[in-house]
Amino acid sequence: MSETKRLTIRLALSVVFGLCVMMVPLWLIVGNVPYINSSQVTTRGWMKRLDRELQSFRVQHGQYPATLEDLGLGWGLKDVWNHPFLYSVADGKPLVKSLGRDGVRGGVGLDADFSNQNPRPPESAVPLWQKVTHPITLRMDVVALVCGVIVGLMFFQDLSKQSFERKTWPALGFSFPVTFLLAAFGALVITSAHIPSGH
Amino acid sequence: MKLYSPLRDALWLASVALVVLNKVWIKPHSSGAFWHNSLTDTLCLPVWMPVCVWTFARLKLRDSSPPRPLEIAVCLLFWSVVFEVVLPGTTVFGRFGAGDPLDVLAYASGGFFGWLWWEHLKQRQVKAMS
Repeated sequence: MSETKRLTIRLALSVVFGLCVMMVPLWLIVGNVPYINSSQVTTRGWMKRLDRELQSFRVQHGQYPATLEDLGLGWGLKDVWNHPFLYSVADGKPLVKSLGRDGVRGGVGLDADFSNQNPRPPESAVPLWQKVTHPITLRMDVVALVCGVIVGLMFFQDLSKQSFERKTWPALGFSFPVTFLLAAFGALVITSAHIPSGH
Repeated sequence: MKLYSPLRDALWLASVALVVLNKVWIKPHSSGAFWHNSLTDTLCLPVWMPVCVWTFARLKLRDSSPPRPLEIAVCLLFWSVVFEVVLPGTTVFGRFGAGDPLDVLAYASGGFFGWLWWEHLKQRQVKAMS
């Protein structure tokens, strides 16, 4: 096997394994950041309060106000992202709309538009890429990257002794399950001895 | 060539000593987050890898050398998944803590230093042989 091919296999396996390790912190990040959509939740809360104020205004004046300023609240003119709410009255019902984080029509996740009439459109669910690239999670992305790089380097170094010739496959086939068995054994020992006593 | 044993491994001895010291003296006297949250995770691989490879060597499932990078990497992945994703989701072990990406970084840091140290040990063994 040529040196270039060997190097390519080493690199590919190291990158794949490094990415596998990166996935663990990323999985935790994505699973543990429900507050990433807190700005949407807050804006929905403001819309709900505005809706109540609009209903009160209608009871008092017989019609909805022409603009949100007419409510005279001193708040509720802008959403969490400091973009003005869009207000209109359609079919006898008030519509208070936020254009999302980007302040322009359309978009998905945090950039999606939502209103008091439709506070949770399907497109407002925060997609994976927005969770991973959100400023809150960027520090953790670096953590994931560092972990992946460390493991990738370890793998790359260990594979330097492998020739990847067909005759070495049985030995490799034996060493991988044994290594996983070793990891499982370690997990069992740590779980029973260490975690309950001093974690 | 002397067979690898955790009892002859300075990193293992130092790590175990540090874990014990942390548990009996540092933790009760310090409020630092590192001592309470991260030290045991950082020392997880340096403490447990030598024990695992020594056991496997005694069981004739591997040679008697210090932990190899591939073993460290596989254990890092496996233990990260088990201790940070799987076990915190169970009712029995969930009460001992939640999954934290920084714990994975702590395991990786310990694994990294372990890797450097055990490679140094191997080179010393090779030199001693020649």
